[in-house]
Amino acid sequence: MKDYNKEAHLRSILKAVSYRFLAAIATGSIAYAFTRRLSISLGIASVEAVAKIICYYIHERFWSFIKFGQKKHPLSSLPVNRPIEEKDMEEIKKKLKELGYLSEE
Amino acid sequence: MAKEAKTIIIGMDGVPSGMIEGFAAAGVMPNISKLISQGVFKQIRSSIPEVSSVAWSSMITGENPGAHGIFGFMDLFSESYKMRFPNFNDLKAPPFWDQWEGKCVVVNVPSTYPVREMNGVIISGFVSIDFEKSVYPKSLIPQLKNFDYRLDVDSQKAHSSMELFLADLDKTLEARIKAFRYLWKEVEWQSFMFVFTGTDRLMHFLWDAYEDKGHKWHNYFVEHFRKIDEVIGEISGRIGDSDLLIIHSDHGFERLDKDVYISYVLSENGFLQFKKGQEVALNNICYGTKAFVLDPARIYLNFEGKYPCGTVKDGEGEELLCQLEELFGSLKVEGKRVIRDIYRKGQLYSGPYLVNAPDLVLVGAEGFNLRANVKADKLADKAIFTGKHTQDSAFLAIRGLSDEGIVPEVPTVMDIKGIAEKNKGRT
Repeated sequence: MKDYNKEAHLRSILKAVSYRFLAAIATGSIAYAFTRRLSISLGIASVEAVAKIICYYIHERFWSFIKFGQKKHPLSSLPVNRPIEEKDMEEIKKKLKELGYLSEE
Repeated sequence: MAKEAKTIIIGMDGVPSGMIEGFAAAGVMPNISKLISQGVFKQIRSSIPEVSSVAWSSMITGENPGAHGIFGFMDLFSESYKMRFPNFNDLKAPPFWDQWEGKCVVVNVPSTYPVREMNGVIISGFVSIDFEKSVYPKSLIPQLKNFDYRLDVDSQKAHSSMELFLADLDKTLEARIKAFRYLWKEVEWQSFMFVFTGTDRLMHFLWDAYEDKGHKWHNYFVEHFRKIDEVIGEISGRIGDSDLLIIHSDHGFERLDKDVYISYVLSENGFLQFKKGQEVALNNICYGTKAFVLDPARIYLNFEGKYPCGTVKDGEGEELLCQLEELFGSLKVEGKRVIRDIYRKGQLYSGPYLVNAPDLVLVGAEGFNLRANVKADKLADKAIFTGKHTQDSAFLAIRGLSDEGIVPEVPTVMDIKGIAEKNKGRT
């Protein structure tokens, strides 16, 4: 069953990428401050960014299973505006006929 | 800062005013008797047709069917004779819980299936078939299942075993009361609406038990209302003096003597024809048909351009309506007039969805239950049910109001709240 309270995988990935973009700039800047060598600083920032995107994604998915602190009842944002499907019609007609609200069609 | 007054609406599906007065006087419903003495008690009129889907949709939106778009339990797809189920997604006017401030709890209001997102909690009423589509928020479902909550009593059982049906009715009521108590406590609500629908089921099948004190199920019938009165007493005890408490039914009930088949009348008089060699069915209406009917007695002229086998031209409508009014106005079964009232759509409805309204609506006289039934091969028959809906004998009780003259004959929840607030302003 689909659980609408949890984040979609794509959203977790996009958040990981956007966060790593910011963090890589910070890491590169710190590395440059210590080494004063641009090539080493860019290398550290690039390798760290890729490795931590993967770490962040795994971390996010892990937290999505933990209910603590999640806001739910009574106003969780669930898409419930669903149409009646064709297969529902026979059941609905049966219920209406049981009470005489629908006669033979 | 003083707390804002709350609104509590208790619906009792199908309960006629006379029954409430009788049970209040007999001591079966002492709590409602007390409420009557503290406010207004009034016999009110239902929607036309007097079916729950139309009546409750009007009550919760404050609009007539021409504005909210619900004309019956079933309707037709556009330019077709194929049936469709007008559901809560088809309701074109907002219910009060989408208009009023604060969270609302709405339990078991008919024709609210499938539920929509709202500020609060909603559990839909008849006709609900799937739990997943009947509860918002969905996180409430496990709790409701713990209560053994049922979306509706299994009415099929009444046709085979009354014992099993009544046991199911009891369990359904008990679970609904548990859900009511839980939601009352757990949700910080501003408005609360709760509808008892077992009353309607009981009267469909056991109106004779209500009338006959010697009937096997008479005591059961009375006890069901006693249980409801206990809940009303519980609610009365929990609310403050400034809170608004409304108790009402959507239509009344009375003894059912005969089912009368409107399609048969139309067919016998040449207004309704079916394709030869094919099953007699709404889908097989053929050219030449002037009018057809949907339950309970909504008559549609078969206009050219509006329906696939439309035969009636625009200019012919008035003459046809006159012919039909004459035909049904004089219709008799066993010497008694069958039709109490005949209405044209303009007399009943107004609004953007008037185009979907039936051209003529019939209201049955006492004892006669009108049904469409295209397959009927006779005018009237003994009914399998013992009670039928009535249009003119619903009831309304409002705690804290003293002047029933200011309540309209066909009130909605909006009207009542408006009246109560004005009344409070004056005092």
